Amino acid sequence: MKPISGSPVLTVSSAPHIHCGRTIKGTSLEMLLALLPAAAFAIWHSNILAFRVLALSCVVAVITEAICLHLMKREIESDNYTALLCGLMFGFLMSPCSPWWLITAGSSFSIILGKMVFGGLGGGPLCAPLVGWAICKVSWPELMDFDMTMLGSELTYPLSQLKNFGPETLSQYPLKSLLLGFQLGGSGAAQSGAILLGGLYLLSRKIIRPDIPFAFIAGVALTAATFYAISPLDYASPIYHLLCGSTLFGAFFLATDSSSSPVGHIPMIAYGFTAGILVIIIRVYGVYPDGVPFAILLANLASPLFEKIRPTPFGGITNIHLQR
Amino acid sequence: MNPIFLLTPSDRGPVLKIREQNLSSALLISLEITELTPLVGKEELVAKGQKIASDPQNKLPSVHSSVSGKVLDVKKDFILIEEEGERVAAPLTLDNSDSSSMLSYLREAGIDVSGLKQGCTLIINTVPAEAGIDGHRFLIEEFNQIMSEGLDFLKEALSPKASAIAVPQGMSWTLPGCTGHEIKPVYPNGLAPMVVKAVTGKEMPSGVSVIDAATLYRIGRTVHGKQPVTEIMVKVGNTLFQAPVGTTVKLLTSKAGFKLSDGDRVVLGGPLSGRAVYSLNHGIPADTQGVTVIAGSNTPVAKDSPCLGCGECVIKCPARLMPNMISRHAEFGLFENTQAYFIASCFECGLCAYWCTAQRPLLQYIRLAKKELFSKPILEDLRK
Repeated sequence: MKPISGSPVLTVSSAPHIHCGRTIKGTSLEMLLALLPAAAFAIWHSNILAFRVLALSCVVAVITEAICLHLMKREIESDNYTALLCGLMFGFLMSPCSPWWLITAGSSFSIILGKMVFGGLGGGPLCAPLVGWAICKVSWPELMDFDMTMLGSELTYPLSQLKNFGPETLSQYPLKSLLLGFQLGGSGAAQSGAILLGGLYLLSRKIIRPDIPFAFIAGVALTAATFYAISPLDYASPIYHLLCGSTLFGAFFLATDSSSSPVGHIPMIAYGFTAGILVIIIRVYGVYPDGVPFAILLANLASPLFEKIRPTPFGGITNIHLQR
Repeated sequence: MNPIFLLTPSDRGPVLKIREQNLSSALLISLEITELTPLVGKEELVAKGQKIASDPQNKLPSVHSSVSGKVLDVKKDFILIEEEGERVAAPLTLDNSDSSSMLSYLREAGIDVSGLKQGCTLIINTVPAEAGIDGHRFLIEEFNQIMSEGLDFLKEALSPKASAIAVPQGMSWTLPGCTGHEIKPVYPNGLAPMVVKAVTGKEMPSGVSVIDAATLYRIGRTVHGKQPVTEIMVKVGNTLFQAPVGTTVKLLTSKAGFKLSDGDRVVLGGPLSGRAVYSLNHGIPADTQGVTVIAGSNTPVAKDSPCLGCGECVIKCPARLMPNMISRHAEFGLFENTQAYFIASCFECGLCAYWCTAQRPLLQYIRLAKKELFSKPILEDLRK
């Protein structure tokens, strides 16, 4: 409705009247962009097999989210790409030879149990792709074993070599080839170099804060160094722990998941560090060769606890009525 | 550094005096008088400096006509005055026998004295509240004498323990009898609680009064001329205006070169903490220091989206609060719970909502919760 006076209709709002311009959609797009190099490396290493895993996982995630939102009588919000991102991250954790039904089941469980049952975007207490991964890992262990599913591949899985044959087997992996992704592992998660590139891109664009990834890497490196210092013959050196398996993917993409990680500098650092320590403990003492997913899930559960670490508010604790 | 947060005063340009502009018609003054009682009626003749609205409870500052003219209309929120004649109101009578009558003299002259306390530490804040709201630079550099006169009056009225002046880094502004403190010119360092912290080293201490440079100038001018100040300095965009109180934002924005269209916002104050007006016929109140025009866009600033938990607001909050949790409770009407997240420490800088990735109206929720808590009887709170 236009007033007769011909004066323009002003927008009235409460302060602040401006915004930094960062949106959910923009953030997810940046993260997808950061994952692209790793996806490309995965497809190159697995002779297109990974493509079908990643594409299926993405499609299933988006469709599942749309169905859930429809059932919840809510607006379909697939255009913010968060479900797509969740699907892609789930695909990154799966073997490129996974059967289609495993990907479908895992990807839809990620969305349903990791995200939608908690009210959708931002509600999940756990990193959504890891929920789907954990369900698959405990339900179909043989299909989730990279050595078993990829018998035809010339590459080997360094973390199970480490677990079964000791740290001296790691000498067959030059660091350069690990960085280029010449190792078995999750389709995208094992592409350490490309993941590192994507992670640094996200840091430079300030999409993720450095607190969690650096604390995570520090936790992994320090714990691994401690074990390595105790006995270099029994434990692998920190650099292998960082470059093998999904450590870097966990540090930059899984641990930084916004809804399941704590807020505030000190809680973030404590959370990242705890997850990093848990990775090495699971790798050394646990039955799972790659401890990253379970370590992050455990740290997720502790994040409400970390959030209790709060500085005193400005001016101490005051009563609002006294400021009347 | 994001220019939005840069508080370094810009170079002084020429001052555009609205009264000397070739206006096609006589000046129409539209005075905002929300919550005050108008003292004039339609068709009444008013003099320049005449009191036209006051607060029956003697808390809010009175409003004066800034021109000699005829009242065209009196509405709930506005008094519309057309310039006519050369009448000037009788000077205010000053009773400087005791402190409270000196302060009520200032309130009668249209100056907000609610934050001034006896025996306090007096801080003169010359740091711009927001980027671009730096019209007071002209006042400090040209009218130092008037300001120290105002300061002397305040010292007599309040007998402060100490007085200090907070200046943005790199500026050599001083006032006699004040210790100088340099403030890093980055938002929100110019807001009163941050200035108090920088000067006294304590957060929200009691017994500190902050008064900004433009208000101090108005006090000095009032004391000097025994007349309420009816011409103020307003920065609109890059232009500094000397304009009568009540000049419409329409006149100011068009003189400053803005072409307004549908969906734009006109904000009294800065974009992070100012107040948007609903009509271009809105007159500027006496405490205005700047008018910001924000071009409209199709995407709303705030949306009704869920919190992502990214923690951006928590990290950016200068009061070390958790705006994410406060807003989650306020969203569902659980205003009591927000006290557990120390909502009382919020000084409404607006940085949380500025940085929110989910574009949640964080400051808006905080203000809502504060308003609801304020309206609660105080006894209920003390019983705990």
